[in-house]
Amino acid sequence: MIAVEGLRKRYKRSIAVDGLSLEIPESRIIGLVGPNGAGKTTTIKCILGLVRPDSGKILVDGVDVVRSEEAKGKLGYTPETPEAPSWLTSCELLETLARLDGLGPHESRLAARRALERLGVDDLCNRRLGELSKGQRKRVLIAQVLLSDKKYVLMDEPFTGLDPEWVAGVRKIILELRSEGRGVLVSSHILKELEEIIDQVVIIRKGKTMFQGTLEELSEKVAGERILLLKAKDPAKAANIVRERGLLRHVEVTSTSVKGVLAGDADPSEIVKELVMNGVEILGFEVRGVSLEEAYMRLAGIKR
Amino acid sequence: MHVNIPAIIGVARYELRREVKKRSFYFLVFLVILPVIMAGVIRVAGLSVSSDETLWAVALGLKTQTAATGQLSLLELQGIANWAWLVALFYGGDLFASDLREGAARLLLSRPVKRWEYILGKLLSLTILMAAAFGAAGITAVIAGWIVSGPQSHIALAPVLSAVLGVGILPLALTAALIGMKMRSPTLGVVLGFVVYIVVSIGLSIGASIEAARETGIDLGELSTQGPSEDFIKFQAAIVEKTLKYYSYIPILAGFSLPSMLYWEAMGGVVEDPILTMVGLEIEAGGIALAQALSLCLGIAAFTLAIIWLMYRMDL
Repeated sequence: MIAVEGLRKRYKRSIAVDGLSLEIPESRIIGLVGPNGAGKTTTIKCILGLVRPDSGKILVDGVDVVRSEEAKGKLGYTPETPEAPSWLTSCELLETLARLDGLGPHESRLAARRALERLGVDDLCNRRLGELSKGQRKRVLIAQVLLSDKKYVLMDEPFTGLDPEWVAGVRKIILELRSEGRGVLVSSHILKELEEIIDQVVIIRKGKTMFQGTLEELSEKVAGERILLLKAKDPAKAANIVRERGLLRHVEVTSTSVKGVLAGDADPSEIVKELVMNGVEILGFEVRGVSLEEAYMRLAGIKR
Repeated sequence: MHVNIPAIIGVARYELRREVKKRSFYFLVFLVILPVIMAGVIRVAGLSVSSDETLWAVALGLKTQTAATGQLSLLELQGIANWAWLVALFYGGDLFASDLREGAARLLLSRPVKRWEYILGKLLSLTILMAAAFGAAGITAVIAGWIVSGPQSHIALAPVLSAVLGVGILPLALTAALIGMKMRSPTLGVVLGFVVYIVVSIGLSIGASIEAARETGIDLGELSTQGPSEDFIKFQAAIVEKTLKYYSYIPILAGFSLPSMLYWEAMGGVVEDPILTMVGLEIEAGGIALAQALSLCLGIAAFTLAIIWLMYRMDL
């Protein structure tokens, strides 16, 4: 298991990660979600030793990853941005990385071929990375986690820049990695991308863990909460009134509507009545439960 | 401390592949063969040159051509030694900066490779490439000397001393590498490395001139209006002496002079220079070579440690 405890990282002007803790067990897929700038990439880089944390512990199977190359050898990584040496061919890059994983020359060549074949991109083997599209490069970089038996795989925004067909392909690979017994951490700023594959979700906001648990636990957290969606001629005025009087929580306004969580057993028709009495013309309203995405966005502090 | 030798070799192999694929590698190959081309031109043009059994040393910048002709100085200018500083800057400037910019450092260091092993692998590769390229230039210098001036002597020395020059440029290359790494820009590594090289070279010249003037009691203001005289020649000889001494104190430059000192040590132990001969000044090459070799080794060690220190402070 990878155990991250009280991880802190401060850059010159901002705190990227602020006391974050999470666990990545074997044979599990953990979704690390949060808005851009929440600290996902920094967390992954800290686990890999690419970024030096200011404090906190990162243990891989009980061994401090900073002090042990053996522990680091258990980690596979796909970066967020598809940056790679443009002058190398895909196979040359993969062979180089396989050699650094400790494979011999022949094994490395085979591993590179197999990894590309597994992703269905073996035609990229002899093409220079500089000639490839971003999506193709991303696939090659995903292939590198398949080179050797990495016990844990950290994937930073693996779906970004891929077309829908490829998103499905990468999801399949992630599920295969889990069935092979590997622990996988997948980061994304969109929970919906991960909903179907993850066993647990860690929601982070401004470097802090806001929620950690299964999607069922996240659902339970918001179970019973109702959302009132009001369509009004003057949504801004309606929003001011519901905010001032505490009629709705987590109020969001668009050009045509106001949305918010109903407080306790509040009666939506009473709220509509009060708005009408205060001169707001209501065009329609709807009451529904809170979706996972909405729960995530609220915890992560994302506004539409 | 566990040293992961396969990791160092793996990084070195990667770096060697990168260096060979760079466009500047063609420039390096061109510099290696250029003396042969120039010698061929001189031969075909039928330009007369004096006989010199160690003309290869002129092509490598190890000695000045005493019976100089215009054609030979042309050959001398085209040797790799004259462009060694440029090779050092180009290869040093992007040694780490390109990897940092292209994300290669992140990929390599996400494997079980320590940062210092990554640096040693890169340095190992650069050292091998420079020693090999300059060593090859030693062979082409011998061929060029033979084309122009007939059979050459002490030819085994040529590739060895030339390879020493290849290693000798490392402190300057590492200066550019350190700057390029800090700025994460190969271009800034080359440009600022060049500025350092120029400032240090000019500083050395000024320092040597001032000390030479103090020692010989010459008034520099009057000298500029006097023109060539006995005092002027003494002053020039003192500058040569001081410059050789100063090279030993400056690791960035020590390696550029070391092959020349080793050459004179092999040729009898005394530095031969037209100016020194005129004033009858004898400078022992062995002592200076030792000091310069020490300075070079300390320089490489210091810059390597500085790069490792910086690398460990970097977030990738």
